[in-house]
Amino acid sequence: MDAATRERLLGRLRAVVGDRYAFADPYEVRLYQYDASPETALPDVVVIPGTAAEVAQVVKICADAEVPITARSAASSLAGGTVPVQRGVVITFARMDRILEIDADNLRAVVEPGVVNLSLSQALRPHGYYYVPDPSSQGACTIGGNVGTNAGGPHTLLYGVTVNHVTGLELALASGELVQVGGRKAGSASGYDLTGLFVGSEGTMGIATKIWVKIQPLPPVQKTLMAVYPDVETASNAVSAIVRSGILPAAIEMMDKLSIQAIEAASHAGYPLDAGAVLLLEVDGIPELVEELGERMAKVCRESGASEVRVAKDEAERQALWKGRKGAFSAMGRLSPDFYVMDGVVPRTKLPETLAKIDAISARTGYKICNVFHAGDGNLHPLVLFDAFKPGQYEAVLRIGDEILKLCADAGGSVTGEHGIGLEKRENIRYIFSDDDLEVMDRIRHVFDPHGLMNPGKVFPGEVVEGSAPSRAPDHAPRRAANVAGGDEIWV
Amino acid sequence: MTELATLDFKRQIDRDGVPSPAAGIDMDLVRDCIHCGLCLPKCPTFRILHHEGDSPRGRMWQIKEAALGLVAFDDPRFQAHVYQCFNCRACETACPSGVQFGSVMEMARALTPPQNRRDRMVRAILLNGLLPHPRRLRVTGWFYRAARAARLPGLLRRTGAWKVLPLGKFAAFPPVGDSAPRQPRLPALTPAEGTRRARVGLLTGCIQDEMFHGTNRRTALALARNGCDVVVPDARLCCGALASHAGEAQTAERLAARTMDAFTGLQLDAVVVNAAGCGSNMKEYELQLRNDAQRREAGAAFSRTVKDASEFLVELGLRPPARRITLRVAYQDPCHLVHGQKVHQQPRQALTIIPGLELVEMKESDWCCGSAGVYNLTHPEISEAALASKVGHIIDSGAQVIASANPGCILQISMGLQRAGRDIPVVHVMDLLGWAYGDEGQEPPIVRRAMA
Repeated sequence: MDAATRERLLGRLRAVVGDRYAFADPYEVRLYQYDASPETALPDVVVIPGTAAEVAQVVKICADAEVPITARSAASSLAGGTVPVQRGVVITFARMDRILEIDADNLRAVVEPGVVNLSLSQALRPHGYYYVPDPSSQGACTIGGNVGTNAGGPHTLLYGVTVNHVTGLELALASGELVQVGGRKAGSASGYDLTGLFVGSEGTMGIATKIWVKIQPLPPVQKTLMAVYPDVETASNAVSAIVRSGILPAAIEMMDKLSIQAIEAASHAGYPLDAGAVLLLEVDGIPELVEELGERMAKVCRESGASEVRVAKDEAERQALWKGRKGAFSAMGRLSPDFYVMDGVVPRTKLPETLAKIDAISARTGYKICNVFHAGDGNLHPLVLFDAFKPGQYEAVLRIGDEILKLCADAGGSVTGEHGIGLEKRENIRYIFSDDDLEVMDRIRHVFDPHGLMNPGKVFPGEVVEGSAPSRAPDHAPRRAANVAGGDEIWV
Repeated sequence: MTELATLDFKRQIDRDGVPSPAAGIDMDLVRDCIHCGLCLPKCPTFRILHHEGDSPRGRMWQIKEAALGLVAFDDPRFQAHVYQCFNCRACETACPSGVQFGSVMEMARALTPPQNRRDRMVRAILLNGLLPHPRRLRVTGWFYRAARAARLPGLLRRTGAWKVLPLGKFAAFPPVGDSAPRQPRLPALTPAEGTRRARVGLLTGCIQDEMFHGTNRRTALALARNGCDVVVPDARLCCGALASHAGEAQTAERLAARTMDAFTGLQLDAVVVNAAGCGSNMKEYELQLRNDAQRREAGAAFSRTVKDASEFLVELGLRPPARRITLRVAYQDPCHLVHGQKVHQQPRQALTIIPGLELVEMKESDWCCGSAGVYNLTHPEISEAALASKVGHIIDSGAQVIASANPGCILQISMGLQRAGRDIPVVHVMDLLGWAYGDEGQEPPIVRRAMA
């Protein structure tokens, strides 16, 4: 974008949000080039709108000027989903963090996109309710971002992911319209399930400005068990044994040896440092049920090779265990300056062999790979540790990531469970979808975003061309995103 | 406006290798940050300003860029974001990667010239001109207390003069504290009562001793009542906390050396500190003395003996006081105690041992009140925004008295509550404990009534 165009655009945006909340100073916009992934790209202009109406106007202005738009709020994406890879305008929801309504009796709440996931549950707690999807980054990630990626979390095993908990959306579309899709409460939806279509679309079709969510009464009792295993294989087989036993816990999480060390260093929650793997399991419900389920589950764990099964003795210990688990990715900062996290899914029964293959990749390449993941869903999160300051490591790690995702797809799984395709996994999506599959998805996007301006360069495979709108039909050249908006530094 | 150099960093590493970071910044500490963003919702300045550049992650990113030479330390935009930080370290508590944000920020500030005239004045007058000099400090303290004794604050309030005078709001709404121009010093040794359990040094401090001498006396009393010999070194000491947090590294280093030397060779089991900012600084003397080859190692050992007053007394096991104080009290966590020293429960335990005292929790008790060292002098507007939400939470808590553990917070919150027209005194945890142990003097009326 040339300077004159940028100034003109900035002037129009400032007329909507005020001078303070739209800026193009190259120093300041540099701070919107990153998220929690290793990807970076510079935007031209950053806008911090305060209301849905402002968002709609901002989108309209950008669409009229044919400028790409990338929405972000916490920018905790692990797949580069909020990196403005085609430059243009970044809209950030730092100011739109209000809970608009809590209607506990009707099991619903209405929020702005910038509301932090955990803040919603904290606000609901005094009413005796909570919002179920609990991504590990829930202390920072926002409901808007959760809608974009159809986020999961440990407790989605039993209760379902974001799409199961969002009933309706208000959306700013590239046309400048502010529209509502879905119902304002559970069970009231009629017509096409457009909410389902938008949840998980990663901001490529529109930007959510208001979100109607389902809330749920807090379970009377929650019990957390930690089962200690000698190795990952035994623990993986135990997961299948638990599910076969007819009990579906609210959560089954696995951590391997390396992860346990980082987690324990960060949390001091009492994870056993000498274990080969641990499973973290949770059951909830009325006390009698929880008691019975807990005992049965402990029995299955022991029979499937656990050397020890511990039950969190009180709420503080339970919270500490979960805090450790949920801080796991960030705790890797203690082991290595950089990491690259995958989000592959495999059928549960394929866990042992997939993990063994990942281990073999680690041994062959010399890069350490940690595993901490939602075992119950078969949703793997291998973390490859590396140092971006060492030449060649980043490229090597990308190749390892690609290999692992291929492995997952070949096992009958997927290349993403909950982090989204974003920028990083665009090429990997081919492992699960054919050209025709992708073409249909792109045609749907085209309905809402005819000029390809909404979070361009994401989800669909194809080359990224800086500063220009992508061609509508995805370029199916089989290559990975090697070129991330030339001229921007990539490091973490 | 100058365009910044844009670099393809990957290509640059391949070609030239990693650029050597600026001297004075520990790149390993900087790279602990993986920019996951978990700190953002816990950052008070991000909540007020909504800008990534004013978030902990954004600041770490900028410091990394400056350290690698991509932006200049004296770039006004860099200066603005670096000095707009409270340095409250709430982000450290939120960070699973273990980023030592406070240390990195202090290193960066040491290389970053102050942002504006107001900031330069605060440094010249307060940090370098007054606090390191015991005699000047004593004279200033005398004038401060004499002005209080002459009821100047009331005059400033009635006439509205506080609104136009520099520092008027602080002068017009003084905290519970000293108002006798002449005041005795603490004895060199306050002997233990009952069985002797420990021999401790007590830092009386700079501002603390001139404005809150009574709090020091009550701290010594609480220690003595719990079986401690309390040793107060002869020299009047400023530990250098305000200087180090503001990036005045040389002054901070000199004061750290002087403070450490004063407590050396006294055969102490611990050095007790009742000001959170000072305690936090003294627990990090290894960092402050990193360029002092003679003292660097001793600094680490010294830091291990430093304890916050509540932390030390609760560890020792508090003897229950005899006097009842029937009050509803909320505790405000000073940032440099809860985030800087990870001391969270002990002050609450010290309060609840007082018979009759009911502890209530306010919302966001561990959020910065905006005092933040000299921040309320250098950045009054942002500081006021933080104070406003603090005052709101205090009022909602229904507490009759607020207890805290740092002179800066006590000053700031006390001023905020008085200006809001609320008669809710703000005192130190050691004040309440000292009164419960039988100290007489300076009790606000509501406390006196509660003891009757």
